[in-house]
Amino acid sequence: MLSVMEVKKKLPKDFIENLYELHSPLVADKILAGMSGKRNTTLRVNTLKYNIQDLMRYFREINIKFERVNFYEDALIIKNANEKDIQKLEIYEKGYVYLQSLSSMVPPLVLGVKEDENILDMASAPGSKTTQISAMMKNTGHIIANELDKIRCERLKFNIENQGVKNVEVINGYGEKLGEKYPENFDRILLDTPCSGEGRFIAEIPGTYRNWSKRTVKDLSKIQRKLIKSGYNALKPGGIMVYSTCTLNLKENKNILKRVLENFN
Amino acid sequence: MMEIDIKVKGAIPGDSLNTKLGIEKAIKILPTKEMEGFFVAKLKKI
Repeated sequence: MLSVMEVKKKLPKDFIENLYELHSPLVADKILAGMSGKRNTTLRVNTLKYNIQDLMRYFREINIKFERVNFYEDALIIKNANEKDIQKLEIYEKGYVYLQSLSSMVPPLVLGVKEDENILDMASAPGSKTTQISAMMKNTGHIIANELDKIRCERLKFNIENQGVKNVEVINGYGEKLGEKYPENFDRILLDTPCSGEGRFIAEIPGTYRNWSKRTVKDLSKIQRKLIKSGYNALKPGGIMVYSTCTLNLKENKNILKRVLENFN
Repeated sequence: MMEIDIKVKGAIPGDSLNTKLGIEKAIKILPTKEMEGFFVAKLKKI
């Protein structure tokens, strides 16, 4: 585990400057402390195939230690095993569990889907949130899962099949065009948009921040503006949209919302 | 903008300023040993 000072030295200078401009020193230090080491393995039970009580019983039998999650009864924090250990288990192969970060479980919970609704997931692969939404809807209704990247689309289809999901239609195209293709069509839309990934930085793993730059943030924000506009057009009047990113800067979060709220309200 | 009714430990408002647009109703999840940093906003089309 690195100190905050060591984390500062490893991460991109522009990122650190932005962080301290946007947050109080106390919060910025807290954010950097959260980037100092690897995160615990976390997972979600797939309620289409299994349940949390049986999963906890099974983990106790094989001596895997875990903690419950206060905001989601179907999630666990694993204390003494990593992702590779979990991937070797039969329950993983059979799609009884999905390895997923806790934060990424939040947007589907906030979306608050109901059975039989018509849902759009605009940037779906690899399918963690799509399959979570499907499980929350008990395989009812209809979910359109869009993914631009063809290779990632195949991964999405594999996960959907493996998790026993039956209510998802996978499409492969530009999210920016979905508003034109499906005007005022959906009860709820998840836009978990491509982003610069600042929230996933781990100072000890350069691959998590190597591609970050001010330019990347700027370029991504242009795409995000188009995606949120497209999503808004695809939403029924009275419909709900959740916009989420795994990043922390203004350009990809507040400024995107500000633009859409000023233009559409 | 809509309120987010899920209580995530360590989350802060998505914007520190109260604006007429309501962006403070979004949440920013700070990275920890368990959580990645995330931003989540909920909107209703009117």
